[in-house]
Amino acid sequence: MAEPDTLHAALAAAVRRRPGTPVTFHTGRETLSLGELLDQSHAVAGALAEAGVRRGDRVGLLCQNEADFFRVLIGLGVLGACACPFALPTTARDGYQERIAGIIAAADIRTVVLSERLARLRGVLGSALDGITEVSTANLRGAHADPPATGVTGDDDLIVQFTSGSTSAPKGVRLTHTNVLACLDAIGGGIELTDADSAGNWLPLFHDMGLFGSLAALHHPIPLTVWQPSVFVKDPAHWLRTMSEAGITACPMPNFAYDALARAVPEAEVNDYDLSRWRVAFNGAEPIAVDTLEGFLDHFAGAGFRPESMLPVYGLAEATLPVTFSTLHAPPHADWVDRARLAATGEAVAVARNAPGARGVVSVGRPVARMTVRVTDPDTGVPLAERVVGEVEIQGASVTPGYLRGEQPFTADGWLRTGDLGYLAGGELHITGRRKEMIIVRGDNYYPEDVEAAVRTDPAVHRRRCVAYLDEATERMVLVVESTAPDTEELRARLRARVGAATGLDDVRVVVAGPQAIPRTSSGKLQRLASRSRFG
Amino acid sequence: MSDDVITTVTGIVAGEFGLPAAGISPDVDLSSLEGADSVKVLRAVAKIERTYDIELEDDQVFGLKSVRDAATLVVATLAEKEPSGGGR
Repeated sequence: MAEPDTLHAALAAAVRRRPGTPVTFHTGRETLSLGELLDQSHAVAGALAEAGVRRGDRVGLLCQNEADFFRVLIGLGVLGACACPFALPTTARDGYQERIAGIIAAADIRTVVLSERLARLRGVLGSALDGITEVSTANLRGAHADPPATGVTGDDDLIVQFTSGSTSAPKGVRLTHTNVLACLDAIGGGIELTDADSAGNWLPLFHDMGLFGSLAALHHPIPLTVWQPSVFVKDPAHWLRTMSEAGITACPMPNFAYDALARAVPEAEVNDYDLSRWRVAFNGAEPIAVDTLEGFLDHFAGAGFRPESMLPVYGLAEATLPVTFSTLHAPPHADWVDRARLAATGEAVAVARNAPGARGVVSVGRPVARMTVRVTDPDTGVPLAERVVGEVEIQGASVTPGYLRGEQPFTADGWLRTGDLGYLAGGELHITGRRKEMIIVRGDNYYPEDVEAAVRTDPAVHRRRCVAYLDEATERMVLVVESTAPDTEELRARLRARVGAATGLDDVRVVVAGPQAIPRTSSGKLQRLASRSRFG
Repeated sequence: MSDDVITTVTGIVAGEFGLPAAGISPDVDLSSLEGADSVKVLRAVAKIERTYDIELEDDQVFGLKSVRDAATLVVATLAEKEPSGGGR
């Protein structure tokens, strides 16, 4: 029999292998079998078809970490339609409506499926859904006609991810059924999943690591437990106890979460935890700090956490998810290089760990199955030797066919430019920074253009002159404005508030400078990089 | 209502954000506070829940803008939990 080429066909094959595989959602304390989940997804497909959704349509999806997220995603796939998951807001900030409205326009979305659990969110959305057909998940249940046969293939888009791009020009990363299945195979194979494994996830399902980490479990299939992000963030120690008692063997988290766990469990209580069954602790989606890694391993050694379980990984939405995994069954390791030469010349010169000015760069390992990686000169595109920093470029079965619109991320010879900077050493990839000026804070991307747009029209900003850039040392956005007004804390707070309201980025350092203080090019254009060296 | 609740919530927010409570007025947009991020907001919510022995739903938290909003939600949630005067 041919290999399945759609998500629903692959899940049907998984159901045939182990139909009773449990899928547990902490919210609503709901447990169902994978077989039930798939049957319900087909019913949802029938209901969505009745609501007018057709093959090729892009449909907005606003759900928490709940079963309906999967039912709607799989159901849309059955119809050959495409899910556009929306991020949830943290608090009621003004920029959220605009972000959602921008995505709806960019993806030409006419239908949005809204979780019945999120009825209260309707107020926060305001006018963003004007003119859109809203479908509540409450209306997708019950008996519906079978979904129509649509002849959907692996080349149909299944998901468009909107995790990157500015508010003004959101980038929709197209992912086909074929991309997604390649990603799920690469994850399962890369960590040698077996029937004895059990997966857990609290990352948001609208986030690539949360979504595809979870789908990889359903695809094998192995039992999956899904929590709300808030369950982890509110009480990391309680979550850790729950996940270890549930016998979870594989769970993905970003760097900050490993820090949070080490802080949340006091030294004296570490021995009360049993982390010996945690076999794969994916660490990705954020820059990985050596002291976080080492701090976590030291702290939880007494709980039986094995160093070889910690798995630094590298991935991005444009690759569906995984690009490289570090070596399974081996502890993570850092490459120690001369910080000054790395910054000045882009050479990763190995030095002793205790040498003055040594910088530790955590290895994210080698390409996953059906993925290739090269490092090139960002200006000339010429592939570089080992230990020379350049732009990371990728090719492979899970790599997107492109963005929905706008400038495409490919080189002339068909490699996807990631915008990340790194080097290879011993065939292993090491990420050192970003070529783009985008900044990532707790998994969200922010752009200087959006920060500047938020304050440009403020009366205190002299002739709309302002510039924003990333301070790489502190990973913080800096905003410099020219003003004839005095530099007061009140003014800085007001500008910070405008940026926060418009972009959701709150941790901005505001510098108020006099007129003409921002460096300009000969044509009068304000310069970000020169500003960085002037204002720090 | 509830100047006490506002004072308590302000103290919790100040503690989680590492800011002096005096600088946080009840109506300031939480997301405009220096160093604010989604994780700090949720930690403050967790502490509010423990302090008042209540549980706030995520989608209620999505609708909060300020300390006053949070205090109002606390008072409403407490009232639901222990109906005072007349009951239901």
